[in-house]
Amino acid sequence: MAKRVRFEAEPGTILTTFLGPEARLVSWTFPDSGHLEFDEDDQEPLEVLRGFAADPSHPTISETAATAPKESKTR
Amino acid sequence: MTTASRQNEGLLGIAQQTAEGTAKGTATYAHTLYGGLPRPVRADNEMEVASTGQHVPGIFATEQHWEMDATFPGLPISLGQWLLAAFGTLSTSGAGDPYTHTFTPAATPGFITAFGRTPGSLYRKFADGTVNELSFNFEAGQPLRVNAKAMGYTPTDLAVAWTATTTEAYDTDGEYLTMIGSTLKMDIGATPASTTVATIQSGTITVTRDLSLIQTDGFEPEHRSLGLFKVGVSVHALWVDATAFKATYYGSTSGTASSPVQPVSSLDLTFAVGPTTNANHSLQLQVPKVKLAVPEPPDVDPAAGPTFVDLAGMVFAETGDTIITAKLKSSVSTYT
Repeated sequence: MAKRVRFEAEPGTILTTFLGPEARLVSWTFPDSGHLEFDEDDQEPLEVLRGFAADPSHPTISETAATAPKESKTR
Repeated sequence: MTTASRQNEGLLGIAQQTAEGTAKGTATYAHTLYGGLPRPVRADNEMEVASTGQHVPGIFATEQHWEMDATFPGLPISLGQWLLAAFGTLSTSGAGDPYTHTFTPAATPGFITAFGRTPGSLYRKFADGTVNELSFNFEAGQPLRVNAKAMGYTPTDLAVAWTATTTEAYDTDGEYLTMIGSTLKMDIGATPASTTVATIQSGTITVTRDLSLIQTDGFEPEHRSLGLFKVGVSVHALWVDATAFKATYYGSTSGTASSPVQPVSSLDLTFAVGPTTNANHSLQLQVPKVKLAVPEPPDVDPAAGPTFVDLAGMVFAETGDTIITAKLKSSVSTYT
């Protein structure tokens, strides 16, 4: 089973950007739990959310290793 | 064609597409403008061939796309949609009004559908557009003016009027973004900007993205090529002392000899809304690293007119920097 990666932020935080040559709109919303989890091989969200986490201009987003393979992402 | 119309009316609309080729049918926001509605642009060519009468035997069209060069007041609700289109990366936080929308440049900006209503009630829809310039012009006492340039693939005229989910008013009650009540921070030779100055009279911040539309086997372009995302700043300020001049030409604010060292300066401009103030709503533009080129100090003026200095700068971002950040605080919960 793939490891899980967890991102934490204020509940309700919405991240939006565009991907690929067709500029596909993608968006993630942090639910009331304040965290989103993805498989470590789910490259698209990991790449985008790590980009937000690395940019201090945006709200505080932190990455941690999830302890259980619990699905909690919304998209 | 009738030319009897005297209606000098117009409306500009915008909607964000979910991807290239997915034009929207309804504008998310519509608002008034000073001018510059989107319009079709067609390339017509003369048939330059030798003929017996030495005349051009015909005309042929090679390509059609659309362009926009619209100027409109900075309105705190609809402006977010333009910022998303121009910047491309957005994070939104907050549990209620005000929501804070933070825009930073993306490698790939999204596609927009622009909508225009021209004098004579001609309704037009312009699909697959890319905003390639967004300029913020501020001047003492004046509402913030925004100029948006865009180019796109497909212009169409509509048989029926387009509609907008929200039409934002610009009237005496506001709210509109304005220079009055703004907080302008600028530091010469230091970053980030933390010094509030009351000497700036006017200025411009412009973000541009190099853009080419590419035509292949159709009459309209079907692809785009993106280049550098660049930021330019200019500030018209009262001349107070020689600090900016020395820092620019002599490497430090106390320098006296030529220096190749260019100090890094910074801007952090927050525009308030008015005319009735609302501290919850504002637009903040942060430019952390700019190298200013300062012209000569002002000459004396025996008529005792004020002396000004024009600061123009080239903005850059080193590894880990964000070249520009725009933060819009508004009542809108999300922009998509």
